[in-house]
Amino acid sequence: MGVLPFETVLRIVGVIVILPLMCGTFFATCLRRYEGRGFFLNAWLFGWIVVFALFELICTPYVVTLQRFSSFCRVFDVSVIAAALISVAAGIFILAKRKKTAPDGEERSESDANRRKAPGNGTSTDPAGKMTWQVWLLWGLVIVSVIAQMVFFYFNNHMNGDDSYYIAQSVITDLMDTMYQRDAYTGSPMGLDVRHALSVLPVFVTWVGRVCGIHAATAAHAILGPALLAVCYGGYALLGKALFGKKRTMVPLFVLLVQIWYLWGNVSIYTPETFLYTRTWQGKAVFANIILPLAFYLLHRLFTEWKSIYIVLLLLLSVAGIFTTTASVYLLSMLYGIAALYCLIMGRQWKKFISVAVCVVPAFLYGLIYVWLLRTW
Amino acid sequence: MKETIGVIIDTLRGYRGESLYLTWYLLAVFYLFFAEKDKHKRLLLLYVPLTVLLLFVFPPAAHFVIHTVMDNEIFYRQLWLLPCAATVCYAVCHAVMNAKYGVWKVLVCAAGILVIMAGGSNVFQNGNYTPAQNPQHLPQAAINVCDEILNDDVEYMVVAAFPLSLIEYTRQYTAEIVSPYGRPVIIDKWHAHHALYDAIEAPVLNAEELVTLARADRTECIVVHSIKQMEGNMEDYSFYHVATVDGYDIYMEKWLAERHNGFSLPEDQETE
Repeated sequence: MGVLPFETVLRIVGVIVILPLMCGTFFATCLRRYEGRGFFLNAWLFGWIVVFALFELICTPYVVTLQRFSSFCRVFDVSVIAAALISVAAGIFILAKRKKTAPDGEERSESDANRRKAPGNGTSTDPAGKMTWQVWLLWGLVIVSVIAQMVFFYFNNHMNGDDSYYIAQSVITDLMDTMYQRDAYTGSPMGLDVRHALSVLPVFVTWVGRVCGIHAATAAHAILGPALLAVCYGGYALLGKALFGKKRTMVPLFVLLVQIWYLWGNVSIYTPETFLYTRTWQGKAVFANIILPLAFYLLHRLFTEWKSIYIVLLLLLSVAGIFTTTASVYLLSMLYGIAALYCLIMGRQWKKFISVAVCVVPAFLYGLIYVWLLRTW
Repeated sequence: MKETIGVIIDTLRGYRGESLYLTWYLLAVFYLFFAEKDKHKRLLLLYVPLTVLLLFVFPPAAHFVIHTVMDNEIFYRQLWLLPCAATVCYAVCHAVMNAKYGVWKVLVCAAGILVIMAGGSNVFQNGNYTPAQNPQHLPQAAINVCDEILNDDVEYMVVAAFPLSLIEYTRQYTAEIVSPYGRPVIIDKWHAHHALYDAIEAPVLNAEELVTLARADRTECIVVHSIKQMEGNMEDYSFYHVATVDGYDIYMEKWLAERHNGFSLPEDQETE
């Protein structure tokens, strides 16, 4: 397997590192008040969610009205660059505003107090939160292990039968300029493939391939596969941070254990662990290993601390879930619905109940579109 | 309802395989039920997932889901809502935190890791990972065969039929080659039989049968394993052998073969 040209590498870095980082800057800046450390991790992870959600929101109308992929690309390219720039500008504005009010304003003290309370911020006076060399060693192990797996993924392949649908659909989109209008297995023309039409991750694969100047199969197998593996473990790092609160020294051990669990989780073809390591680039794997851990993380943060930023992120996650798989309409609604009901049962927390219930709305709307499409086609 | 209970049991069995995956998860839930005091963590790791699990095993709810939301085949996805990795690993970390001395902490952690490894199956040992032969991570033979088929001077979408070993890969490489059949023919439960596929996969190939079936499907190109014996001659039916690539023979209709780069008809060669 040859080495990719330098220009292609730069484009890939732009799409999988810089673009998500820029798109997530605004949310990372907002979260900094409540989350403490981990600005870049937050920006990168939620940047992916922003890109997924934006792609879903813009692409779906083009798919259901049988528009061309190239027309969609023109609109999405402009939109995603605008979103990235607005996100960075808004992030800088918020930071500048905070600094301005810092010297003797009340806002600074409130912000600092929040940051001290934040789950990722153990202090040196708190023995459980003290960063020792053992903790740094564990973090080192986590990072080295993830990078080693990404390199392994780049140089090795795992054949998966479902790729003959998903990757073929991406290749068709690239060549024929249509979206979900041809039978992926044979190439013959057909009406809209309603079952998959709302989950546009294969179209995203085509977009990544075009922007990076590589084949759609390369974009999925060699680029998105390793990148999404890192996103998955990043999501678990966030979840660990939320679960352990001030005992942040436990987070690297938690992520390391999660990696071991995942590596030894190939117990059947159905588990999320198997999906992560055998078909990382497919929507189902992204849903089970990225969307769901982030949903648990956000729900936990919302239960602990009711802030509008978490509701916005849960809403975005709901849309990003549909981007990955249509089953998300049901599965995320179920998760959010049960969580919302418990908010009512445990202490009649109406505010939290309504917040979580509102996050089901995108799934509900997409569900209606799905039913409408089924009846129309 | 009996049928639904059967589906629930089969799904659970299929999901956990031959492992202790769900056992460790339920043990972790049991441990946290007594050890975890934080109400938010209990809500997230215990109450919400247990409700999901209850709905999964509750026959009327399962019946509703299977018949209105998702079918038997993807019913297992509801189990993804159980945060198994997070719960088990959090339980191990919780036990490590609760251990009083450094040595005990290390022992508890090591025991946790051993338990996870012993109860599971390593993904890298499933034997399905192979070094990538190209950036597309597709079998090189599939790419070479497709490149050879497209090596002509005509802007045309060729209809080509492939043997089992290539079916899943050719359309991942190019959409310029369409097929009379696709992956469904190799999935038994989909019952998508195709006569041309059966003829290509027969132990001994029959030229007349291949050509007749191909023409009935408007297929202009047939790819077969070179090592297979063939009864009859494809050229007698105006299908010409244009190349052999990586152990595959490529046959094309006369008009297409004539446009293929580097190919000339046998009768033209004789004239020359």
